[in-house]
Amino acid sequence: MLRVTLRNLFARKVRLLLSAFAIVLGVAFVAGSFVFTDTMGSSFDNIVNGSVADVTVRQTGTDPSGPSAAIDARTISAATVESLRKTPGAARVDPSVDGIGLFVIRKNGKLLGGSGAPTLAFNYTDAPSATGNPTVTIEKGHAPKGSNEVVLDARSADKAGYRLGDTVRMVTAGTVPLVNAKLVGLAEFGGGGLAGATLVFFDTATAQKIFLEGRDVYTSVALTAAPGVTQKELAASTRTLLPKGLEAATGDKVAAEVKSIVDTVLGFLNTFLLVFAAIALVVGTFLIINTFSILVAQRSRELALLRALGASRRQVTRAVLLEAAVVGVIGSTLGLFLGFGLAAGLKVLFATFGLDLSGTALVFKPRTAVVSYAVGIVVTLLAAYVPARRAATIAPVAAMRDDIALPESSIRRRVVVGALVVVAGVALLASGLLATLDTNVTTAMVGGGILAVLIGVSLLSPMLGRPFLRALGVVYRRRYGTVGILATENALRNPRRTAATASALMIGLALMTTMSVLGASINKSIDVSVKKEFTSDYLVSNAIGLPFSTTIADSIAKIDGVGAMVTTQSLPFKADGDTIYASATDSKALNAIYSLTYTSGSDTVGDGQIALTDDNAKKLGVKVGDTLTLTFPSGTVKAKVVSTYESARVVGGAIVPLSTVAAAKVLRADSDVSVNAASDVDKVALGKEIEAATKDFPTVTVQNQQEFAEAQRAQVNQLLYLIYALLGLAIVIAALGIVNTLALSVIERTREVGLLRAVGMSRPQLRRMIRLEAIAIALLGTVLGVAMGILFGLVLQRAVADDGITDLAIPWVRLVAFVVVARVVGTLAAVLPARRAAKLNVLNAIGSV
Amino acid sequence: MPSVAARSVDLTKTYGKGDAQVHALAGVSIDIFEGQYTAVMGPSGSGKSTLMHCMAALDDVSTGHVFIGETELSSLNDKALTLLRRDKIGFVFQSFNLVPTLTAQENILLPLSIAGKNPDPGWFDQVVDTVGLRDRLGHRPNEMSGGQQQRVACARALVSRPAIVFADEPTGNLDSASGAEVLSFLRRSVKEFGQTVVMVTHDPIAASYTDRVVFLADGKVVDELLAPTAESVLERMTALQARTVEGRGF
Ligand SMILES: Nc1ncnc2c1ncn2[C@@H]1O[C@H](COP(=O)(O)OP(=O)(O)OP(=O)(O)O)[C@@H](O)[C@H]1O
Ligand SMILES: [Mg+2]
Repeated sequence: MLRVTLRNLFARKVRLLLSAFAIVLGVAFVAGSFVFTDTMGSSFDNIVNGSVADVTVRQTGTDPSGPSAAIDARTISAATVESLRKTPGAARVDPSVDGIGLFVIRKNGKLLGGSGAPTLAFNYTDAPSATGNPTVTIEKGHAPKGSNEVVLDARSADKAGYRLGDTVRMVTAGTVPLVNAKLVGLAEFGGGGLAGATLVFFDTATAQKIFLEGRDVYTSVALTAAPGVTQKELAASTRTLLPKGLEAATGDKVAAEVKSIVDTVLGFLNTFLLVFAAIALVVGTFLIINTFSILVAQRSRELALLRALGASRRQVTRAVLLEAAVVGVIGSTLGLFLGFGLAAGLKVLFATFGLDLSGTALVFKPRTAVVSYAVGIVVTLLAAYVPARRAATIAPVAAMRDDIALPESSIRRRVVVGALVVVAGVALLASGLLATLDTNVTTAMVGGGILAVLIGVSLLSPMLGRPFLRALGVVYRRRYGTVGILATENALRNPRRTAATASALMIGLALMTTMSVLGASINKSIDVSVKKEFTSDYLVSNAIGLPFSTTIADSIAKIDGVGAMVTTQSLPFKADGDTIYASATDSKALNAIYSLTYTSGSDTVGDGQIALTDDNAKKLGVKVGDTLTLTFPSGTVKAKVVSTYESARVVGGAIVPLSTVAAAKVLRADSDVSVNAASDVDKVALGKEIEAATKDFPTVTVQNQQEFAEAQRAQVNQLLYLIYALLGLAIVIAALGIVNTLALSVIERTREVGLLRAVGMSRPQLRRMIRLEAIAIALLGTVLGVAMGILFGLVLQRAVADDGITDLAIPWVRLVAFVVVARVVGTLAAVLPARRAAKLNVLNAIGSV
Repeated sequence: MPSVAARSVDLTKTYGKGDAQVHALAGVSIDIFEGQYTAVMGPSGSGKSTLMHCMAALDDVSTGHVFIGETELSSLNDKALTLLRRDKIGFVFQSFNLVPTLTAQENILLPLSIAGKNPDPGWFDQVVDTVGLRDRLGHRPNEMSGGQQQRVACARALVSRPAIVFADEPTGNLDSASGAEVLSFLRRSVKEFGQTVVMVTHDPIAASYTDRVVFLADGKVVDELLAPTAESVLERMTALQARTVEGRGF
């Protein structure tokens, strides 16, 4: 039996390769996701291990996982550092000035980094990390000395276009907004690659001047253990010397904290990628089911012969499953290799976003191989199970008959099962949308529900497809005559096969359409709310919400023609476990520009007070007059709720006075500046002047209403295109499915093709017949998919209407484009099978059995 | 003498190379006359099917010439051959003659509709009535008996009024009653419509329906018989068999 199976496999290697291809792509996606996130993880591990000290003294409540929008303003005095120098068991004590919010400007005036990996500034020391090696070494030049010298890591210097001796321009979020210093050295990081991060070093006094207003204070202290002293022991002896408000964390603890954040982020990324891998595999499953069904059908006479010769049903099933297993193994192996390629591609892609992993080799963990093979083999076996079972039902007597039809499960049973799956999917979708559970759970429910509905519709599609194909047949008949009739009849001849092939495409397109509808709705909602809420003439802000120096607002304020103006600082706090991004601002100035809708209380937020959006007030269970405790890393601040307002895009989830910034011990910096032109001032001219005033600061952009909306839309579109690209894989697999089905059908109908040629059908006519069949399948899948996608999009938009996606938009043009593209996909998918059919020798074709 | 509908001149067809070479046709010159019903007979492997295929423009020849009417086939490219088959030649195979997705009527009209031509309704009716399939026109092949399917195939071969119809053992898969239906239909098409028909057969009774029998052996024309009867055909066959050294049977 094994020999027979392997011989079969070999004889049909092309067909099996085609179906293995679905597995290859799906597994490649799985393997690529793992390899890439492992690589990223290892890169970050190296960074963390290479940078933490044996013991770090830092402010209590320091939360590396907290929002980066606020910069902790607390410091450690020189006196404390002096007392720490006497710590027993400390080989050396290095006080550190960690500067956040500084960016290097490239030689060409553009920002280095900015939206990707961070820029980290320090006072230079040669202190070792917990690994015992120096954290950084100066590779070229010398360490920075004096206020005019700076050292960059070699890769960043190179990327920014600076060489030793050049003057490096930098911007900060602090009181010294612009820094110019001579590049005197190039540093090498001890932990290997930096994942695209930029390191900037000054001497201690200069760092204090830039980041700490010149005070002789520090942000943290690194302690290195003497030989024989453990991290824990050193931390314990440090603690005895610490004043209140400071804590001593071992290197292991700090590393674990950072790693857990990194792991969370990478986990998200991995899940995100794996979702698309799963979609690809579901689509691939259709392709494999189809391929094996057709192969079994074509071999039914041979299988019947095996049965007649005494093979048991089990043996026949096993033979088919064995074939599937071999396909699974081959597909997984190829997929694993392709996965490496994919991971390498992702590395390049992420490098363009500023996350440069080129210093790290791809990481291959045994787990990646185990998962890849498990997924590849299990999916193939599952997909082949139904055809394998059906193969076993072939009666031995069929071997003697001329025309054998495989016993098919009844359409009615399929319809019932399909309808049940649809109902279950709808129920899951509805409960996911309505339930108030953890968002991860509800998201999974919604996703699972959508998938179930799609699979249910796939089961129903042999029935749904019929009227569609008949209608298309009328058009075909009119335009292409007999060739059109033949194409239609061929598509209808095996409704399951056609439907399964079309379904693969349907799934991909349904998801694409859903995303398109949601994307268009989000964009429309943005437009609507921006038009309503964005009432300032200009907004100065950072593209990714990083804080910038308040000196920028100061210089804008000096421009002639500036009327009303307000600055806000994003100030995240925790209340009831949720993080709320408050806007710290002067509420009178805010009201002068923006007309927020206050639903209760006063529109003025004074010291010790807070205004909340209706949603947040409801979530926190507070109303006007209540007192709320805001938790910052530095401790808690109490605030009285004075009003509630309708959420708006122009402010955060709460409004607090600027005094709260100081109370929370956060560095004062602006997140955005809104400017109105004074009456009788030319707005365009004013815009130009604001541009000019901020031209030294590539960290900020100046936008009017339209530009603001465009920038927001651009973010949505970027995500949308990424999702299209990832779903594109499912479309590619579905297209391969059409190729496969048609190629197999052509083989199955070899004699018929020969007959048609014998009675005078020309090669172009034959090719057209097959092309029309492919287009019919592609259009069926697309029309079903787009219809389902519109439905899903509609439901989802309604469900999240309260979360800001208030307006429904259906992007008809794009959807029509999908249909057009599907037609092209059909045409392309038909090329090879059509060529093959046209090449068939008439006599051989007729003679073949 | 009636004019020639198709002709082969020194036709050879060789399969394979070197030791494995088979001379399926070893110089066949034969004229097929218009309005005649010609049978081709001979032992299995004598080259009958090969001759049909070469003359019906389904296969190319090794050397020699084939003419359909005045047209020499070797001068034509694939496109021209396709058009020739479509417009000038009808073909009936031993089995699998019909497209399973099409009804009997659609199958009959297939060569015309492929060509984008309208059928002559009168002629169509006449053909359909002759094959006696009027009540089966809406049926698909799998709803018809083997004999009915072959009659549909014959009707298809005739409906485009081809210059010549080739039939390779059209009754080979049929019982004698169904076979007789097909044979008498071909006979009538020659008698009543003046159709030219060439038919390969192993059956002396089938051959007795024809005007002329050509005997092939080892790729050569070895004998010929005009106005055959079942007895005279059987006689020649027996004689031929005796002459065949290897003693291959029919
Ligand atoms: N495609 C081919 N390749 C090689 N040899 C072939 C091929 N087709 C036919 N032959 C050989 O050519 C010879 C003539 O074959 P052909 O099919 O014409 O015989 P036939 O007279 O029709 O026989 P039958 O009565 O069995 O149908 C045979 O010896 C056959 O083996
Ligand atoms: Mg033959």
